[in-house]
Amino acid sequence: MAEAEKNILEIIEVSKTFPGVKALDKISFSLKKGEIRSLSGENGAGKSTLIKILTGVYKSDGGRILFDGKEAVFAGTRESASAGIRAVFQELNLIPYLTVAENLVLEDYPVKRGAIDWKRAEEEATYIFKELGVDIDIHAELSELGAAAWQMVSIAIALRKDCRLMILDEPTSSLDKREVEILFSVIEKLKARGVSFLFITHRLEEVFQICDSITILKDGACIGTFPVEEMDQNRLVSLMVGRTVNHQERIAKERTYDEKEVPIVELRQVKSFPRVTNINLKVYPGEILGIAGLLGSGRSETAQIIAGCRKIDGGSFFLNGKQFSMTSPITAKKQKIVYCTENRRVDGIIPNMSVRNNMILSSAGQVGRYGVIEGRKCKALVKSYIDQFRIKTPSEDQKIKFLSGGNQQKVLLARGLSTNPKLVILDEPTRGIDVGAKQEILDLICEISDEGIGVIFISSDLPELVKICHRVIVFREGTTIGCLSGEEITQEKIMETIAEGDRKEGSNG
Amino acid sequence: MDKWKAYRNTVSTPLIFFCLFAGNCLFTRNFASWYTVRSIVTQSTSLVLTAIGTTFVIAAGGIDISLGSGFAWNAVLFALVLQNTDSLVFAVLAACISAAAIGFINGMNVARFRIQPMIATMAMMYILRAFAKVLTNGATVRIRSPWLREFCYMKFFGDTIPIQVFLIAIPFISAVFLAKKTPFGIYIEACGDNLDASRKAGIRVVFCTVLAYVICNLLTALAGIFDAGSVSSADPMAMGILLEMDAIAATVIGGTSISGGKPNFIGTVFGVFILQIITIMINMNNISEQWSYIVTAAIIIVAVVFQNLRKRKEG
Repeated sequence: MAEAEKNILEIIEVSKTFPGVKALDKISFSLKKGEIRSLSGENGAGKSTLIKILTGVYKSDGGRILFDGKEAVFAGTRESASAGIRAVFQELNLIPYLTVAENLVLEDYPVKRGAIDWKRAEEEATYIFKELGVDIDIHAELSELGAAAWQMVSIAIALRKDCRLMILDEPTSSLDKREVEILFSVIEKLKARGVSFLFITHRLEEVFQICDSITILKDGACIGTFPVEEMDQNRLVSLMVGRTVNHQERIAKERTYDEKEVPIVELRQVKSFPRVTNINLKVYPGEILGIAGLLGSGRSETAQIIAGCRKIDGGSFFLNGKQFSMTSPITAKKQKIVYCTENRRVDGIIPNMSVRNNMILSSAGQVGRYGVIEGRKCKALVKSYIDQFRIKTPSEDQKIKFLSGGNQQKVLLARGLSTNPKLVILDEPTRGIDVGAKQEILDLICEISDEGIGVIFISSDLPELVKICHRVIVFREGTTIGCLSGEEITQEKIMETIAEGDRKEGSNG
Repeated sequence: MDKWKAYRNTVSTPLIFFCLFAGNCLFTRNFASWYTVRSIVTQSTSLVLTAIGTTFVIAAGGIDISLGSGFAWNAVLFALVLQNTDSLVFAVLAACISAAAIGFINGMNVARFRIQPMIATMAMMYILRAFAKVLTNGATVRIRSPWLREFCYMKFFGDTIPIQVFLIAIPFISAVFLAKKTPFGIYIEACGDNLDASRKAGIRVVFCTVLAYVICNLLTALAGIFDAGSVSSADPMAMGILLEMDAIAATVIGGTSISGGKPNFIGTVFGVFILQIITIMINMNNISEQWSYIVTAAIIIVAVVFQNLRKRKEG
């Protein structure tokens, strides 16, 4: 009985059905006060649906929810917020042109005699951030601040009203290691105050770092709730995905490097204003070259340079051993270089266009004769990629914006590969993708390099780099500071290299 | 139900047109006749050509408000060259080269120099109208070509199918073919939907945009020549007034998104017919002409609201 009283949240056989799909099937678990629970599961497992029911956006079709001992049936986010449940989502609904203080009170202004009481708003803002131990300028415009600040402001907004259960959906996806530490210290502070958390993240290390326990969802059902001590990454992934997965095993085949091998692309002391000061890098055919470094270290900018999207202000660029000027993405395409951008939703996919057209976008000229697209050839090509890459889509005519992130990424990979490239540059290809699809994409990348295509793989996920890269180049503040190969590639060694940056200036890749 | 959804984009605008037509057959005297059908087709020819061109440009993510001035300018140029050389071929060639040049300049301004499309083409709008005025001193230019006059009134299959049907059908079929069966069609849709992604995917964005503007201006010039040829005169001041607005209205009513993306040519053509039928309907019911503007405006707003609702539902 005493046990039950400490539970802030009880979910009892909650179900939710949409036309044709059972999103949640008798989910049951409970959450204690001050507990940090990870809600783990692949995309489509039911996490978002559960959150929407908890915050009152959806009504459940069966089962009960008890919040702090009382039946919780909310008709919307206002009701759930007043009860003490708040969700902070990945797409942060903040206004970039307003200041921190202005954003904080946006939802509910303090009012004095009919006008907004800005003095009180500022006092509130200062107080909240001081309590959280976060150093932020409340008069700064959000557009000037980084992703971490946005995250903090969202959490502060959630805390304005008495919040007892905070749901964080992928809070760390845009944060670097340092910023994640700050976020975690805030979470710990709130935990000490008795706030409970439901924490969703695709970064498994974080689950083990901050969470007390894990609830695993798979295909709408609750697999179980486990204290974090009883779990390890492999077991967690296996339960989430439904088959045994060796999560951390290195699967890269060893690659020997010949003295006389000519790199596909070589950068020597390349400079590009701003943020790129001294890049030395080589990438060879058939290898997976990983690029590691903190946010803002110039990795994406370097990718853009090689892909012709960014100008060089100094240094030399060599293509197949000869000096070359990569003037535009059109030149890059002609030279058989393919670039998958960091934010596929922003500048990767053509959202309202079909999967088929997105896939053949770069190779449309080759799928026919005399400027006409040959229907049969095109259909065959698209089908072969859909089958080979296991792209989940109801049809090739489906608008790509309706596909999940992982499937969108696969379509973009197919787009690049359909041009028979010699070099493929992938910038954070597994960001925002669930564990099962991530593995599929990593496997695809290995297959690509096995066929002799060079791959540049930029990733903030160290375990991934360790898993498949033949060599890893480490970036720091616009400079390449080290290169690891073969057995040297471990998470510890990579982090060491990032930290020791100053000693190995301009190390040759 | 799902099958109908796939054809919804193609069928919506024609459906609205046929409803309007049927409604008028019932409620407007003397409406139901082949004469009315022929009138709708013959009166809308120049707008259809211009609107098809406009659909290309809007689909590619741009807009061209110089079309009305271009319509007048190219017709005037055609008439002047004809007057001075007595050669239809030279005259048509001159107008086409001029139209291509205008399209090229507009396209380059938008795609290469990144000038806002409305501003870039607004400048062209004033310049062309000014040129037309200057070259003619504001006077109408006579077109003395019996052949052209014959051509404009030609009928096939014994007086039933006027040439306008072909002037509408051929560009329409070509446009649909370009959009659905060629890489160019995919590139246009991609540029209009996400220009940055298209550029990074290695598409020649500047080339495609310029080509869209060139096609648009060529079609408009041909429309202008036909219009002027039908009345044997080119009036630099009155021709093409608000033509680009009607073309944009037809494109939008037809379901092509104003921000760019997939072009809907069948929608555009029937959009023109809808605009036409409104004018005829107001006229035949002896209502004051001003009401046709009001009804047109209402239809445009309703069409756009429906488009937005559908977009929002899609998420």
